[in-house]
Parts: sequence; C-alpha cells; structure tokens
Amino acid sequence: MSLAIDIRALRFRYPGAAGDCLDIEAFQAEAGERVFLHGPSGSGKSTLLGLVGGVLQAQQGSLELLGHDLSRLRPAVRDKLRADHIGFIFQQFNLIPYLSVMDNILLPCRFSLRRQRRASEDEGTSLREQALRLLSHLQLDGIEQVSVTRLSVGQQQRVAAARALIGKPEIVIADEPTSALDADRQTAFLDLLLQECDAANATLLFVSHDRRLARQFHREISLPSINRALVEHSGR
Amino acid sequence: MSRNMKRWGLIALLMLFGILSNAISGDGNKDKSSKSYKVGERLPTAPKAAAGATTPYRKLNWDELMPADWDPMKALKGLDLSKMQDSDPRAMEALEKVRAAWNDAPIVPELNGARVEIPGFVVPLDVDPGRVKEFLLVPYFGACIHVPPPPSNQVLHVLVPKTLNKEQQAALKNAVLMYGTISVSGTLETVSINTAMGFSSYRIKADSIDPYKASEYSSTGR
Amino acid sequence: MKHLLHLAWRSAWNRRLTLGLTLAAIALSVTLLLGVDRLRHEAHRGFSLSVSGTDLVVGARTSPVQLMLYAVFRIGEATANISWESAQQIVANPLVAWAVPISLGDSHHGFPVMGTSAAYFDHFRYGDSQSLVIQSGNPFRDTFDVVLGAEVATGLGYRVGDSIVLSHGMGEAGLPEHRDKPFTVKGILKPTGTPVDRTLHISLEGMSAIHLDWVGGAPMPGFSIPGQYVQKVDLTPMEVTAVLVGLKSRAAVFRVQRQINESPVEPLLAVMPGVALEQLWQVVGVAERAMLAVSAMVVVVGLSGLVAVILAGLNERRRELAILRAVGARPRDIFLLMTAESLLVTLGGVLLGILLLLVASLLLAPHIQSAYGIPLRTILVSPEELKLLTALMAIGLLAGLVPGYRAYRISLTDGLMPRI
Repeated sequence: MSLAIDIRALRFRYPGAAGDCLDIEAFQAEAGERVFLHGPSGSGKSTLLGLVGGVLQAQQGSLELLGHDLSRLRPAVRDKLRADHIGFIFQQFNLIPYLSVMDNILLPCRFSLRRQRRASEDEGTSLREQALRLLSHLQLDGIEQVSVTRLSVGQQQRVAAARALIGKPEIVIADEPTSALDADRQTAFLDLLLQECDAANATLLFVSHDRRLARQFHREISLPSINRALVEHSGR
Repeated sequence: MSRNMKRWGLIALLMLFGILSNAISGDGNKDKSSKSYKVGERLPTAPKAAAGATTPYRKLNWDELMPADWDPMKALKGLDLSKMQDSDPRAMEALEKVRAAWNDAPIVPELNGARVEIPGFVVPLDVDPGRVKEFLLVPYFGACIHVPPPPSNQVLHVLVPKTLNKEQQAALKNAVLMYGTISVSGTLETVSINTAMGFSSYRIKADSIDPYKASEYSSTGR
Repeated sequence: MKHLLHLAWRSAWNRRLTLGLTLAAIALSVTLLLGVDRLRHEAHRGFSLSVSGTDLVVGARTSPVQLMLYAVFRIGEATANISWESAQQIVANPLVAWAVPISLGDSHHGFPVMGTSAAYFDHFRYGDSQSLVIQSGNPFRDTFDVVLGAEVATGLGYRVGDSIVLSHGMGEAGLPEHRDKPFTVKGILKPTGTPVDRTLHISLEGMSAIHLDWVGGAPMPGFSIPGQYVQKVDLTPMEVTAVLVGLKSRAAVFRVQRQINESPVEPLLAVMPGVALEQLWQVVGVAERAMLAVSAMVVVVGLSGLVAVILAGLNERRRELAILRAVGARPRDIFLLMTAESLLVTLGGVLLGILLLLVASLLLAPHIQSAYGIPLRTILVSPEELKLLTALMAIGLLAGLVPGYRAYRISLTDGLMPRI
C-alpha cells in the first residue's frame, strides 16, 4: 500500500519566531488508513494541518502528499494539490453563508477539475446527483436548497463532510469536527464519516482532544509525543 | 496596520481624483504644441532656406501682402511720439489718420492666383467651432480682443476645404477656440467689391490647413 | 474564473443592503457628473448652432456677451435700444450686403416676441447654413400677423388662424397686455433646435402699432387707438434693439465693425458673433470646470465609501476566506473575488446612474428647452461620455484593488486557521 502522507525530519518555525513550532522526525499515513491524532491546543496541531494542506511550507525536511513533496513546490502547485486531493472539515462555521447547501457541497469541484470529473464519472451521474447521494448517506435528505444559516450545527457538520468527500479526494482531514456537537450526536457523526471514508477509500486524519472517539481508528497518535519542538520549549 | 491603511487610503484617494479630473479635462484638450502668445505677438514668418523647396506653394511673408510703396505708419511720420502726451491732439489726429488708412489699405493685385502657404492667427467668423467653413487669418495674436485689428491688406478670408483629416480638423478646431496658430496653403485671390469706395481684400481658397510648424520658419530666414 | 464571478455575485447579493446603499451613492454621483457634463455639451452645442453666416451683431453699447445673449439667444433683456437712424445708416453702408433690424421686449406666456422685417426669414441662417422654413401657413404680411416658432406652437397648442394677445415686458405672469390689439397666427416655423423655436415673430410695424398708445411701459389711460385706425398711422419704428448684419466681403468685418463702433450718432457696439461667444465660454468656463471638479470629487467619495464598506466587512469574512482556501482557492483567487465584488457594485452604480440621468433628462428637457432654447437630446450615452465612463470604471477598478489586496494579504497570513 502506498503512503498518503509521508513526513520525515520536518521542521517548521513561524517567521520571526524564536524557535521551531514543529519538529517531527517521522509520521506516515497509508492510503485508506484511519489515523486519530490527539493534540491539545498549543501542540502545533493547526500548524501541522496547515503544512499538510500546503498553505504553510516547512523550512527543513520533507512532506510528501501522495508522492508529491510539498516542501519543494511553489504555492500555486500546493494549492492545486490541496484542491485535487484533500477534503477539509473544521470544528464549526464550515459553510459559506450566502451559498445554498448544494453550492457549498460542490465548492471543491469549482476549484478542482479532477474532483469534478471524479464526482461525475461514477456511474455517469451528474454532480448534483452525487451531492444528493452523499447527503442521503449522511441522513440529510431534502435539504439541498435550504439556506445554510437555518441548519443545526449537526446538520452543518454533515454538510461539511459531504463537501469534504465530493469528488473522492484521497485524503480527508477533520479538525475537531465533533467538538461543537452534543455528546449523543458525536458518535453518530463519526460513524457516518467513517462509513463514507471507507466507501471512498480515503485516508482520514482525524484530529481531536477527545480520546474517547479514538476506538474506531486504526492508529492513535499523540502529537506532543512526535513533536520534539514541544519538549525543547517546555515551560512556555 | 491601521496607520498604513490610512496612508494607502489617502494616496489612493488622491490618485483617483487626479485620474478622474484628467479624464474630464481631457475633453478640452489643449494642443500639445500650442504655446500661449502675447497680445500683438507675431509669428516668425521668414521661411528657412533649408525648408523643402519642392512644395508647389510659395511660402508667403505677411509683408508681401502690402504694396512695397505703402507704409502703414505713414501718418505717423514726422511725429516724435515719445515727446507727446497720449491725449495730445496731434497724436490723436495722427492715429485717426493711421486707422483710416488701415481701413482701406491697398492690395497687391499681382498676387491674384498665386499658390501660397502662410501661417497666422485665427479669428473666428461663425459660432460653431466644430464646423468651421471659413475664418479670418491675421498676422498677430489678439487681433480683435485686446489690440486694434490689422490693416485690411493684412486680413485673409480663408475658405476651408471640405475634406480635412483628423489631425487637421483637430488643429483647426483648436486654433479657432484659442485664437491660435494655423498654416494655410492654397490659392490667393484678390476680391474687389464694386462699391463707391472700391474696397479690396484678400481671399484664399485653402487646399490644406495644417498646424503651424515653427521649425520651418525663423525671424531672419536662416 | 466564472465560478469566482458567481461567488462574487452571491456574496454581494447577500450583503445587498449595505452594498445597495453604496451603489445608490455611486449612481447618484455618476448622474451628477454625467449630467453636468452633458448639460455643458448641450449648451455649447445649442449655442453654436443658433446662428450662422452673420458677420456682425449691432446693438446699444453693452458687453459683447450680453448683446449676444439677448439679441441671438433671447436670454435676458436689452439694457437700451438703438435709434432707427443708426439702423438705417448700417443698411446704407456700401460694404453691407444685408441688415435685418430686430426689436425685443415683449413676450407671450414667457416666450419672447421679436419684431423684425421680412428680410429676417430670407437672411437668417442657423446650424449648417440652414434657412428658416415655414412649415404651415405664410410669412407675416399684415400689421397684426405673427409667425410662431415650433416650440411656441406645440407648447401652447396654437394653429394657423388662432388669435393671441401679447404681453408687455418679459416675465411669467402679471404683465400688462396689449389686449386691444390681438395678433393672428399666420405661420408656424419648422423646428430648428435654436432659440428661434421659442420666439414669436411679428413685423416691426406690428411692434410699433401695439406701443403707439403706450408710454413708459403702460397704456395711457383714456387714450387708446383702436386696431383698425392704427394702420393709417406711420408705423416706422423709432428704435430697434439690434441689427444683424451680413457683409459683401467677410474680410471687411474689422473695417465695418470699427465704423459702427465709432458712429457719431450714438454709442453702438458691433460684435463678431464667434468672438463674442468665445468670450462667453471663457467666462462660463471657470464655473464649468469648477462644477465638473466638484462632481468628480463626489464620485471619488462614492467610490471611497464602497471601498470602506468592503474593507470594513473583511474582518467578519476571515472564516469564509479560510473555507475558500481549504477547498482549494489560491490567494490570487481571493484577490480576484474581492476585486470582482467591488467592480460589480461599481458597474451597477454606473448603469443605474446612466438610467437616472435618462429619466431626469426626459423630465427636465421640455422645461430647459422652453426656458433657454437649449435642446437636450435624450440619449443613453454619447461617445464622449463613454470615454468619461471608461475612465470612471478604470478608477473603480483601481479602487477595487484595495480591498482585493487586503483580502489577499489576510488570506496569506490566515491560511486555513483565521484568528477570530
């Protein structure tokens, strides 16, 4: 199996910072793997996601995304890779308020031709139909024309998941997607998400501080344990 | 951040204003080559020898329009104006004589039919600067505004040709608006009105109206 | 690119209340700027078409601009008249080809009345050397005939054969009338687009006739001469307001002008129409430029308002920008998005402004035409105005770059995690 994410000897510091923010010797995620990344705030989680997403670039080391080394690529190329291969889910406020649910879900297809094609080549369906299918799987039938502002948080998170999954990206990154949900909804959301990621054979990188959710994942990694920059700056 | 923003904002505002007012005043664009003339200023009209001698038009000097034996200042001869007051009746009488002489100045009949090119200042005849069919050409600036008009043998009635290219049209319109300079090439005619006073004047059927090219003329002809 | 425009449109529509206000501000400023510019052009154009082929206009010694205004453009009133003797002398000048005396001072429902000779219709030219044409009826022949300009006929609904009463003096209402001597509409002129359209033309004799029993601007009480007897009296006018002169040789204009200006009979002023009009434009030009500058400033203010509104809203939109980056938007796309939003509003404002101007000119044109004789063409936009609008849009584009650039920088620093 090939590696979806392959990080080696990665070091990153923010401009003007005194020391490294991230110093990771090795981190890999295989294709189709479910990885639970546990990280309290301040552990460099946002930075890591920024690096994997290609909006930040490490000063040293290599970060390979599906074989492409992001640390050597221009910003435009990194943006394209992100558009083509990664779907994001954030903790909250995932959706663009002035677009409909349908338009929100289809956003990645506007920025990536590859995802647009992959979305509609499956059984020759149209983009709309793919989006509707995802909504259905996520138990959100019939809301595609509803205004985003009128959805509950749970519904919004599931729409965000649909958006992350449209066009079958190889990697899905979820940053605390359940933290804003009620306890009883959290597991339900997680189940749906895992189910869809499996169906798409996507690598899922799930970041959360709630270790109780880690049960259903192949691997659980604690960010402070692999980020040597934290050790050096302990006592901050 | 906010201080920078204010500075950029102010610069942007000034730029916007500058560009917009430029666009507006670009409407009444001044001819780039027109300088502002002093009242009474004449153009150097002696053609430089080096100027191309191959045109069919003879470059005419304003002096040539007056007969050699006619002196526009004749009535003032023998008077030492510097010794007289402005209101001295002799000075007034002399000026009157000069003006009367200018009213009815003799022309040079031999120039009838000559193909000439002559630069001068425009005095508009009609009120539409966009559609100029005729105008008067005089030797100096401000002929009807600030100083007395020239003698009648120094006034050319110009008939504008029907077809002018864009550059010529623009130059003509500009000259009409600013009482500015223009160069006329065409056939000079002497026109006599059969009246008891026998008033004669010059008319020129222009073949071409062009911007005045200062480089082809000098005060001395060298 | 198309999807960015769609996003920009949806985003702008979402904030249509605030953006709508700035759009309205821009629209009004564009209407103002365009309106001032158009009025200026139309006035210049209207005046420059109003007379042609007249070498000199002679009147009492006043300013050349004032003489042109009342004698040719029928705006304002004459300060003094000139004697019939002077007018006759001008006619007799051997260099004069034709001379038409005109007499002003009376009006009819706000339209000026002009007494003149029949030669006026032969010699007066306007525009591109066009003569006056009588559309219906005939030129005046009897003492109390009147020929109407096109505006007068349509504005007051007169036809050939109607009877009208003239008022003494200029003004809208409350003027003494020459009620005992009504005039008959003999002819109506074809429209010219000049002040001729709003003038009523009577003969010089007619003008004398209605003032025979008037002294000092009012009818003499107990002394009135009925219409039918008036014609037995000598109706040669004693004075006229101005004389329009055409010369046998146009080059003789300076000489004749000097002769008239130095007339021993009375102080006269002879002006060359082109020169006098130029003087008018010079005087007015300062005001014109000032008004245009102010209008331009107002447009800049409107655009600044738009930029400020979009900039102010950027902070709340950091989350939105982060989402867009997450789905693959590049900082460049964010920049284009913001600039497009700004441009959309600017364009909308400009279009609305043009529309408003059209409505305004449709409403005001009849009034301006009858009050000043300036025809306002109702056009959407003229070629010169198009240049102005292009410059405006260019500036709008420049203005839009400011929030675009700001959003670009924000997007770069925020990345996927905005600091909110």
